[in-house]
Amino acid sequence: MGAWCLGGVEDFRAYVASRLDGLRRTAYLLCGDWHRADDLVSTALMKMYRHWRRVSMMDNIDAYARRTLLRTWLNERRRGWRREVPAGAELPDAAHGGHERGVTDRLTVVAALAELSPKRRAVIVLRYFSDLSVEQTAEILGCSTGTVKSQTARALEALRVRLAQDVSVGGQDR
Amino acid sequence: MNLIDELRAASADPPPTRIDLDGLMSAERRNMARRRWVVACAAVFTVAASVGVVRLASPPDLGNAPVTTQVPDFAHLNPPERVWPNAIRSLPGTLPDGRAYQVAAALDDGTYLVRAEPDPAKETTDFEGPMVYDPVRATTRHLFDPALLNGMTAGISTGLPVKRVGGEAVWLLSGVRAGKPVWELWAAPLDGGAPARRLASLTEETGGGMVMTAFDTTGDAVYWSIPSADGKPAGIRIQPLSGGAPRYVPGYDLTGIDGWVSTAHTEAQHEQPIAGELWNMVTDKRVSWRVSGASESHICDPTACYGPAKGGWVTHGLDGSGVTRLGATFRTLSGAAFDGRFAIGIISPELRDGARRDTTITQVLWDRSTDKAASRPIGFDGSAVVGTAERPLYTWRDGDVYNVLDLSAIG
Repeated sequence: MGAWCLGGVEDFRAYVASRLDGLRRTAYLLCGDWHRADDLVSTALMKMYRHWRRVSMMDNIDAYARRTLLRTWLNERRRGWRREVPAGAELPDAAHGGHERGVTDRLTVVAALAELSPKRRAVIVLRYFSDLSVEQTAEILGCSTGTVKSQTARALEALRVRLAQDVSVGGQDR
Repeated sequence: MNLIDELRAASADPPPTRIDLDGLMSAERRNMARRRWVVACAAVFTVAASVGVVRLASPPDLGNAPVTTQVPDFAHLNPPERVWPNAIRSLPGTLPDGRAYQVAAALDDGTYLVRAEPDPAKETTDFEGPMVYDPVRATTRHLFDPALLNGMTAGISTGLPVKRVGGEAVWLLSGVRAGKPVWELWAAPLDGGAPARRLASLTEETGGGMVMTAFDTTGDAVYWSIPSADGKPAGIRIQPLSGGAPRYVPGYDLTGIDGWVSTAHTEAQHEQPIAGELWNMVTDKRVSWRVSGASESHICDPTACYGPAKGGWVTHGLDGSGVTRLGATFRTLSGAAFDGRFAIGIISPELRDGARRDTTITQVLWDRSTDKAASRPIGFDGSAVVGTAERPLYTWRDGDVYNVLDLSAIG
């Protein structure tokens, strides 16, 4: 998106209103818990608000928002406990059939994501949920495009093993 | 399975958000106003804070104290100020220059190793490094001269760990040098007797990436985990502060508790291990643990294991015995301190119809040796467990006061 020109409170509100859903879903896929996802997004938004006058003049506010969210998530993990409980562990027993079966599948995907290392989880979420290119993902993660490609390949392989089925990524390259 | 579709479906239908944007913005405006006001009133704050200082006794050696099984009533706990008033020291909410800060460790003369938060009015952040803060004299002393950076620019200069290791401060720096990301550990004597020095380069081990944000310490060394390509533990590398090449120890991973490493790899495991070993590299004490089967997954520290089970979280002994339910309000274990004597968890109101009754998130600090516990709502208040293995600290901001609870001073 282009520059967010005014840098005022209402602009910030408008930006959040248009991006809140995406940021929450990104945070959920990173941490596996809606409760924590809201905490992460809240913290990231407060950091953005603190610097909004400067942030609003950036060419790519969304990239800044994603980067802030990622660092907030990483810092939270560092300050707290390095071990994470797979998200599905605290959820109800696996159900069977119909809608409940769909819920179970989703939890399985989230649980499989939770078993990836942070970097691999991040590249999967950024590339295949946020729909970013290799270059955009590398910029946000602060690493080379080669690292993004190799981490993506390893993450996909780990997901295939964990989910015990083939994992396609549509028409995107790995 | 199409991953793109699955990711979209997995995050579809989110519950109603708890995010109070107006509240966040109001709180941040108050914080910014307070920072400005504090600059003008720094002297007054310092005097007021010094009056409230609690003189702490020498830390008793209570690590590895016995674990009791009397579960506190998590729904009805008092704040730390009421449970352990004599172990709390209240500091000014900002440094003398008005900036917010995070305590990293307590020093022996009543001063603190701290890291300043960036000035929100500045366009960029600086590679400032840690400093020693004397809250009584209202002074700070920098331990790092950015001129030593040798061309490093534009990196992550905030949020990275600073730790005390014996008589030195050690911190992680991340930046860009010659167009490439670099990660480095730096060290400097706390007494300022020598300039800071680069202790180790971690750039190769991070793969140029972003996840090297943690290291743990022993009394005279720092250690970090080595990322692996296959998801199995690749080991740790130990760097003595005295210099020399780092030592490689295969098969272990960080635990987040200084001195302790674990055989249970937790970052990319494909299966939950059912048993493992924790090893204290300082004392050479080794602790084996085994899951009980009651919980679906588990977290074990040197004192006990925790995990979610049907009907709520449970805790049990390291040998898998003595399974005790923690009640419906206990939501997750988020940390441990002092060799596992203190468990830090999150509690929230009971589930009802699949939704939580309100949006309050409460952190609980539970002393497993006495089963005393305290709770406090958490938000954007800098709450963290910091310090050293011998003197861990639980910190949080409360208005214009920065509270430091010395866990080693709790009898």
